[in-house]
Amino acid sequence: MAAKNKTAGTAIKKSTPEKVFTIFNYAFFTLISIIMIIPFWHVLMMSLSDVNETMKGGIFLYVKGFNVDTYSQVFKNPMIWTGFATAIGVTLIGTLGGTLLTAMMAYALSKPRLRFGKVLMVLVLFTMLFYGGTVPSYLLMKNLRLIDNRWALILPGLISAYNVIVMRSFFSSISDSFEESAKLDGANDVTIFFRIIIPLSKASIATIVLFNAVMYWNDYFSTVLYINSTDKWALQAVLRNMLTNTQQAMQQAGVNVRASSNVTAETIKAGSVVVATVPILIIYPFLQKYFVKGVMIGGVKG
Amino acid sequence: MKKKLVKRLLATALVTVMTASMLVGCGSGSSDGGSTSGSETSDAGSSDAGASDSGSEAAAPVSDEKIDVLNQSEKMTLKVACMTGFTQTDSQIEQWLEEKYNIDIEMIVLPGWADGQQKISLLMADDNERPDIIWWWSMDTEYTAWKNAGLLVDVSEYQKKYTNIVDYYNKMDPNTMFYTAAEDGMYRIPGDVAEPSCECLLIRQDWLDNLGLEVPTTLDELKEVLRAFTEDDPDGNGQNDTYGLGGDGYDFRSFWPFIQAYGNTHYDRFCVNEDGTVGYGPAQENTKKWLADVADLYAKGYITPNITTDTDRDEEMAKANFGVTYSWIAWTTTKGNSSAMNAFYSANPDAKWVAIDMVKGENGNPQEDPATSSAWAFFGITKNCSDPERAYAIWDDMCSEENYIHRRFGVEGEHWERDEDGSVNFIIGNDSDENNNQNIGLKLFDNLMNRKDECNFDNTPEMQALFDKSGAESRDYAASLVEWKDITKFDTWIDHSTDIEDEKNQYLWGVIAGSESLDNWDAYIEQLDALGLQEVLAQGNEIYAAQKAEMEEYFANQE
Amino acid sequence: MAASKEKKPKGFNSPAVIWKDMKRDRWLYFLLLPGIVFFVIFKYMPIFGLRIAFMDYNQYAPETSTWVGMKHFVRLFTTNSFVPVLINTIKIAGLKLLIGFPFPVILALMLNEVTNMKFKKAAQTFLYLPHFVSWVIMAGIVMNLLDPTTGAITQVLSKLTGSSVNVLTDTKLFVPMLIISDVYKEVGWGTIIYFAAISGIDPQLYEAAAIDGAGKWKQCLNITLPSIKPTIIIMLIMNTGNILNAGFDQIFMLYTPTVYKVADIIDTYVFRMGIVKADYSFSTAAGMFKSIVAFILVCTVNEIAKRTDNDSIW
Repeated sequence: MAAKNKTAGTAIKKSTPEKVFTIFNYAFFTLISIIMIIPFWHVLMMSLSDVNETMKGGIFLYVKGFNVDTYSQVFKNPMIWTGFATAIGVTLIGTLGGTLLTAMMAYALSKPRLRFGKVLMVLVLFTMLFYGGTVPSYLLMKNLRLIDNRWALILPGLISAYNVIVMRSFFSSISDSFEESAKLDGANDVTIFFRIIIPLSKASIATIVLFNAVMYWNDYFSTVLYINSTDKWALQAVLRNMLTNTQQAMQQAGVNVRASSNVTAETIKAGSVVVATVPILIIYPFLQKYFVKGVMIGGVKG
Repeated sequence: MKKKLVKRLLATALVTVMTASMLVGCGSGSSDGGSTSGSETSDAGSSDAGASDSGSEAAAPVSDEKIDVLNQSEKMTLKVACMTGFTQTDSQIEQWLEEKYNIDIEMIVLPGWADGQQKISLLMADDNERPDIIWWWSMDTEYTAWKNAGLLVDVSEYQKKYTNIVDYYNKMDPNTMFYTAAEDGMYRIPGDVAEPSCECLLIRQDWLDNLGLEVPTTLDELKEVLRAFTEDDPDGNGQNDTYGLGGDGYDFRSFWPFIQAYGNTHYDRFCVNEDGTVGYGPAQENTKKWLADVADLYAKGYITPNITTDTDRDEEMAKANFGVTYSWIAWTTTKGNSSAMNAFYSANPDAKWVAIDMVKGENGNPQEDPATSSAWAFFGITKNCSDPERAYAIWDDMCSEENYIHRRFGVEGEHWERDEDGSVNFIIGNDSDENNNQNIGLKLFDNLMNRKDECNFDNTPEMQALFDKSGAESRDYAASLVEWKDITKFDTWIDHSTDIEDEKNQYLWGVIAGSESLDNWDAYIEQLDALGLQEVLAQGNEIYAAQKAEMEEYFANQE
Repeated sequence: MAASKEKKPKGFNSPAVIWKDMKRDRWLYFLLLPGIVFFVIFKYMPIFGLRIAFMDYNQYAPETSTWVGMKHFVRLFTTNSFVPVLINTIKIAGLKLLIGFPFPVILALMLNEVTNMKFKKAAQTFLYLPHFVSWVIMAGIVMNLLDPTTGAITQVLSKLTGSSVNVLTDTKLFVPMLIISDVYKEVGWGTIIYFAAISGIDPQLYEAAAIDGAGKWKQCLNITLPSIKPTIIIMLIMNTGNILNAGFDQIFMLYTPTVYKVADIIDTYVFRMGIVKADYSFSTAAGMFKSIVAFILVCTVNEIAKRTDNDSIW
């Protein structure tokens, strides 16, 4: 796309309004970026600040009284490490498996010629809007003998109706010509899907990978529902639980306590956000190249 | 086996799909016929939870002989659900308990305040996963459902034989066990009971000194102090940046001095009138009086403006922009045991918060805000427990003074020591890193019975004295308020309370914030009646009378 | 889609033809199979739980549960607050949709015009950040900014209006605050799908347009926008399904009784009812009501989209 934009830009001389727009555009996104970074920046600065300062509240644009007590408290909890391990495992397996299954399903459903395709689409969409509730979901896991098993964190989230619909719409926009020429060479739909369609759909796959990874990584509720042993808890559940024993959390629950620690619910909250978010943010740059590069769909013209 | 399971799943699923398509077909989908068809099929898959022989445990005869928990040859597994306190497994204290009682402890840690109750429900509904000892807080309707489904064991007979827990509660407040008991037994054990009153009136002594004011003793003097703290620049910085009253936002307790000044009113509980009838606190005539006071002070700017939003009490304290507050007794010490006060004093080293006597109001009887006699957290032994009597006996032994101190604070000389004057110093604190790193386990099973007598080393002697004073000075008020023994019986309240409390909160906060007027008081009362308040009060009076009789009978039996 | 447009050949729906077509596409069904199994087990089996809405369900002794028909729905519809709460829900969710929906599209189109790759990548990353900050944290920030005396935004507002404002208790300003903070938090995350759609556009189209003398604006209007139109429409259809999801977490963290009149939504109301009595059947009924409304709405919008534009989910 870089190349594209350059050719497009040089082929025709920029008009004055376009120049103005370009300047405006850069200024606009600089401003937007600054505004968007504030909450996360605030949380980061707060997590590194002195507890007495954080007590006073306010927006933290810089560190007030630098210290890493919050992080030492967070990382001293042995559950953090098992939480990381569980979260990474669940996210990896869930994201890879889920994206593959989503893509397979979406591809088949993207073919208008498929018999019963529309009925299946309605049935898929139905699950996006109707949810049985926590107790039936729990009973299902119980019947599958998956209570207190990490697979219970992975399986229910593998495919979502939303992702199927999004991906199907991406697949629908791919020209039929690839399929037709491959069919002439004797390839079947499975081969076409894996050999031709997947390589062509990097951007859409990257999107679904991102959605799935973020969903699995941020999921604490499956742990709440299905997991009993603390060594199998996912990271987000561990971090949420850490708040439970802090003074403010107890008071909010109507309990009067005395706590003598050098962290507060606020700093633990802030630290948790950083600890929980940074790993998932790291995967973004790896996926980003697929969004900006684009794919050469025009290779074969229909 | 597996094949069978898959087959069953598929069969069930097909029915589901059909039902779903029917729903789609119906358009509106809320027809009952469509949904009933598949119910039996899926129930077959669900658990056989719930005992059909409800209450059988209660009927089981208990021998007079006591179990010697220290000399049991058979190892017993105890699955215990807990939330606060120490949550790592295999701590030193846990191992100490396991050896002492020849048990194997499995802890199920509940996920936290936001989701804990959901987890408790699921655990209780699952026959396989249900712990032997379950802990919960404010789940009264669920507790009744568990009891009715036979999931909880009646421990009343055990309590006659093993008496540490019961003796402790009866020593602190005899009412506690009355409110805990069910009609046909004792299916729950109080886990933690708040001190009779946890709060007191706090004032900035340094601001009083700066302005040459005396400690207020009456409501009018307090109002004058609030004015002076706002308008007369008590911190002497030349800026108009101070307020009189501050504290927890969106919490009526912040206005307690005004509420108690009139008496026979409350911000959410039911009051007992002089004639013995029961009235809804926020609808009592006297509510108007304190509301008028608070709204007037708020309009004048003597109260922090953000008190009408859901601010945090600690954060407000740390901001240090007000001079009077009604808050935790624990905040009176300068020992550095509260993060809010640490923050406050680090920024204002010359400041001084002191606890003062409650101001005298119209009714001439200054009172602190009373806590309930009933526990806020309970635990119970479930029918999954292989030997409930032994489990109770173990827990009761664990709650003896000596064992409690060991479980909560560790070993003398190793984890704590006594000063010459008798006060306790912690070598390793409850919340210290060492406790976690060395996996010591101090504060294990927190809130599965906490002692607040002399075994509670957390309180300094001065603080304990304040707790005692506050507690004593809240009893008259406590006597004028209703505490419901079994809220599930009060079904009109359960049905209407959301609407009534919404209306109450909207009106009361509206008046304070100035968006509503006290002139509309009659309309407010009419609205409450329209929402079912009269019906609630009719039933409330009935239940209260019955409860009073029950209480007399209970204490007669105790003699 | 295409099939429905064409005139169907004779015998199109005869079992023999169907079977023949299915045999032809057997490998597509093979790809579909794991997904179907997944949906049946993990999505449709729990949906069965919705029957609880027609019962007085006792999860601790399921055999004592009784069928009560429409009782819980009747109770939901006849509570005093139902109508105002429903109106609030639709108002807030509708405004969020109306205002929040176009922004990601515009942002994606604008960012697409940025040619400096490093700048573009950085801006993209920053745009997503607020999505990862939960409402618990975000509410704290909002409350700080809107504190009646010290809040940064409040101070600007009071300078502009000349009087002090407390947005969090103001019935006129509370809902706009909800909308703005929600759009702010989710706008960046919403752009991802459009980036992906834009990156799938054939670059040769732009080259051809450039040779024809089309400027950036024309290219955007004539190539980019039409190319991502199917995605936009599908996102719109799916988002209408949220018409009764006005954002529980956000409102729950920010509201107080003074703004119940404008900000109390179905979810918060049902939650408050659940505090006194955890009534599983009732909350299931409330959830089911929301789902049915959403389903009808999605079907309607899908139908409209199909008729006017031929872009639809089915």
